[in-house]
Amino acid sequence: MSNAKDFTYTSKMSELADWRPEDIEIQASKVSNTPLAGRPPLPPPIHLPTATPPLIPNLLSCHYRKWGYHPDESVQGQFPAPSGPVYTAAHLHLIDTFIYFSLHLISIPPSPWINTLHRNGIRVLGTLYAHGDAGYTALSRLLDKGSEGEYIFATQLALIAETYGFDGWLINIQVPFPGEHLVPDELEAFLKELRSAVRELVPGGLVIWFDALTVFNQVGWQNGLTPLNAPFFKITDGMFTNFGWWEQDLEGTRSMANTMNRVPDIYTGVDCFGRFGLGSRDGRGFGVDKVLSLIREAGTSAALFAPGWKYEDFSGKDFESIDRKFWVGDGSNPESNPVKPISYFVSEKVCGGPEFFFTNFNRAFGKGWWVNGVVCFPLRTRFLTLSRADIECLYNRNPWIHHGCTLARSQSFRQSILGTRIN
Amino acid sequence: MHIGAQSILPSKYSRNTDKLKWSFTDETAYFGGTSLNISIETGSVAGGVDFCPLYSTAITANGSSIQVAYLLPERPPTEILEGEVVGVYYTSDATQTKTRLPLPQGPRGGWKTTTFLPIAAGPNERITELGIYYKHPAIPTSPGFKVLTLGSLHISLIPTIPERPSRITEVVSFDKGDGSTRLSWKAYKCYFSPAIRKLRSVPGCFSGKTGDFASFLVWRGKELVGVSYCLEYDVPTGVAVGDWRADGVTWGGAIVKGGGVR
Repeated sequence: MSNAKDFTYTSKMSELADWRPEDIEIQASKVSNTPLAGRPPLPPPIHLPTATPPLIPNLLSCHYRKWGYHPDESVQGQFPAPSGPVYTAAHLHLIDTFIYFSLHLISIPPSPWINTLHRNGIRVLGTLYAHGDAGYTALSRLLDKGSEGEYIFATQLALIAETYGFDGWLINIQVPFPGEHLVPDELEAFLKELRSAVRELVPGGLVIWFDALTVFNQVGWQNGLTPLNAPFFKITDGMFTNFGWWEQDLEGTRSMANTMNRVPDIYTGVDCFGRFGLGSRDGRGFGVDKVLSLIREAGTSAALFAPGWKYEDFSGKDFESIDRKFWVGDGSNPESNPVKPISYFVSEKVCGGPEFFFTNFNRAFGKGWWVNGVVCFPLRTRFLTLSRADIECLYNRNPWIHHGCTLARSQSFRQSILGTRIN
Repeated sequence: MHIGAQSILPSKYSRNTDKLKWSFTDETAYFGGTSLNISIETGSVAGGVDFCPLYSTAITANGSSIQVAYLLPERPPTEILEGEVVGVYYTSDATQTKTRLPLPQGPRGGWKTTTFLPIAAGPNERITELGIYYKHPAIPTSPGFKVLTLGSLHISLIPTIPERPSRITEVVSFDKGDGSTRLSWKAYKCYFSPAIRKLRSVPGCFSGKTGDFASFLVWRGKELVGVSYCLEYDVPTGVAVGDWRADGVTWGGAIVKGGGVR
C-alpha cells in the first residue's frame, strides 16, 4: 500500500495482498478514532401533512475531487491553511452514506473525513475501482482463494475497513475479468463473502455495487436495475446505478426493485456535472433538481457523484453561498423558486443521537483556534504564546486538570490498564 | 484547515422572511475556530419574540440537561434594550410547543457557560427542534443587530465530562530517524462507575482508539502546536524540542489535562 505521509491507497493487488493490520501501528493518525454516532429517525410531524410523493429516502454522496487525496485532507490538517477558498462538506444532515472516490484501485478514506462524517452519523465507504489496463490486471487476482477456499481479497477488504475505521466498500468494476469466461457465480460468491465479512467486522457495514459489469462479464452500463446486474444487487446492500438513465429506465428499475421489495436500496446515480442521460438535459449543477424530482417520484434513493462540482466550476469563489444554495436553498420559498435545492427532495436526518448531542459549531477552517474562549492559534502566525495567566485560568475551571497529570503507578491503577490502547 | 475538526453544523437554515438569523463567524470561538452569530437582520422590528431554529434532533427529553457556551456581544449603553431576553428553546414531539430557557445575562463581551436543570418530561418524549429565541421590545436599528454569539451546545442525560475520565500519560518523544519527531501518549480507563459505563456505552461517546477523548490538544510548553485525533502527533518541521503535553478533549467538549514530557 502507498505509505505516503497522510494517505493510504494502492493500485496493485500485490500490495493489497501483502497488507497486514499490524502495519498501521506505525501510522495511527491514518485511523479514524470516531465511532459512528447513532442517528435515530426523525419523529414524524404531528400537525404537518406527509410529503407527497414521499421524499427520497436515502442520499449517498460520492466525493470525487480532482483524482482524490489532497493536502487539505491531511491527517493533521493543513497549517497554515491554503490562502484561497477551501472545500468542505457542510450540509451533512441530508446525507446517509459518503463514498471516498479516487482513481486508484483501492481508495481508503482519509481519517479526517471518517471522523467528521461519523460524528454526524454518516457511514463512510472506501472504493474498489477497477478500470483501464491496471484494473484488468488487478481483476486477474481479485477472486484468488486461500488455503481454506476463502476469497483472500474479500477478507483483506473487510479487515481494511475495520482497521481504518470506515464502514464498507463501493465495488466499481469497469473492465471485464480476464479470460473468456467469468463464471458469474464466482463473482457473486466473492461479493457474498465480502458482504458477510464486512458485516461481521464492521457493525452496520455496507457493500454497494456499481452498475457497470454484467453477468456476461461485459461492461455494459444498464443505467438501472436489469436482469444483467440484478444478481449482484441481490447479494449486496445496494446498487449505485450508472448516470445515463432516462425516464423509462427509472420506471423499469423501480418496477424490478419493487418485486424484490428493495426500492430504497437502489441509489439512482446523479452526475453533478450533468454529462449523461437525462442529466445532460440541463441536469448539470443546480439543474440536478430536474432529475431528483423524477427520482423522488420513483421512490428510489439517490447517489450524487461529485457534489463538489460547484467548487470546481466556480474555482472556490463564493463557495459558502453557492454550496448553501445547492443544498438547502438561498432562503427563498422553494415552491416558488424554479431552482430547487437538494433539501426539497431528500428526507432530512436528525442531528445527534438519541441520548447525546454536542456541537462547537466548528467548521473545518477558520482564522485561529480558541480553547475555552482564549485564542491560542492564530492562523497566519501559526503559534501564539499564551500567558501563564491564560493557561492557569483555563485549567482552574476543571479540578481534574490539576490532579490528573501524573501517571499513577499504584497496583490498583496498573490493574485498570487494559493494554497499550484503550479497549 | 482540518477536515476532521468539523463539528455538527446547524441543519435549520433561515428563510429570507425570518427576522432572527444565524451566521458563522471566524472572529471568535469558544472551542475551535468557529462560533455562531445570532442577529436581527431585517432592520427595525416590532417588539415580540423571535425564533431562530438551529437543529432537528431526536434526543430523549426527560432528564436531559442543556449546556451552553455563549457570549453576549458588547453594545453601547444606548443599545441595551430594557426587558430583552435571549435564550435557548426546544420543541418536544409530545407538546409541539416551544419551551424557553433564558440565558443568564451579566457582563457582556466575555464567554460564559451555563447548564440548565434537567428537563422533566414524559419517558418517551423527544426534543425535535433546538434553537435560540429573542424576546425584545421594538428595535429601532439597522440590519445586523447582534443578539448572541453561540460557542457550544451540549444536550444529554449524561454530563459533559465523566466524573473521573481516562488518564492521559506523559508524552514520549522520539526521533523518527529522518530528522522529524513523533510524540505519543496513552489514555487509560480508570473509573467504572455506572454513570461512566452508561456514558461509554452511548454511540459517539467513547472510542476504541482514544477512549473518553474525541481529540487531543498538543502543547509545547505554553504554545498550542496542533490538534490530534489519535494517540500520537508528528511535530511539524521547524518546531523546536520542548516540554510536550497532550490534553484530552472529551466527546462533550471538556478538557482534561495530560501528563508532561518523559
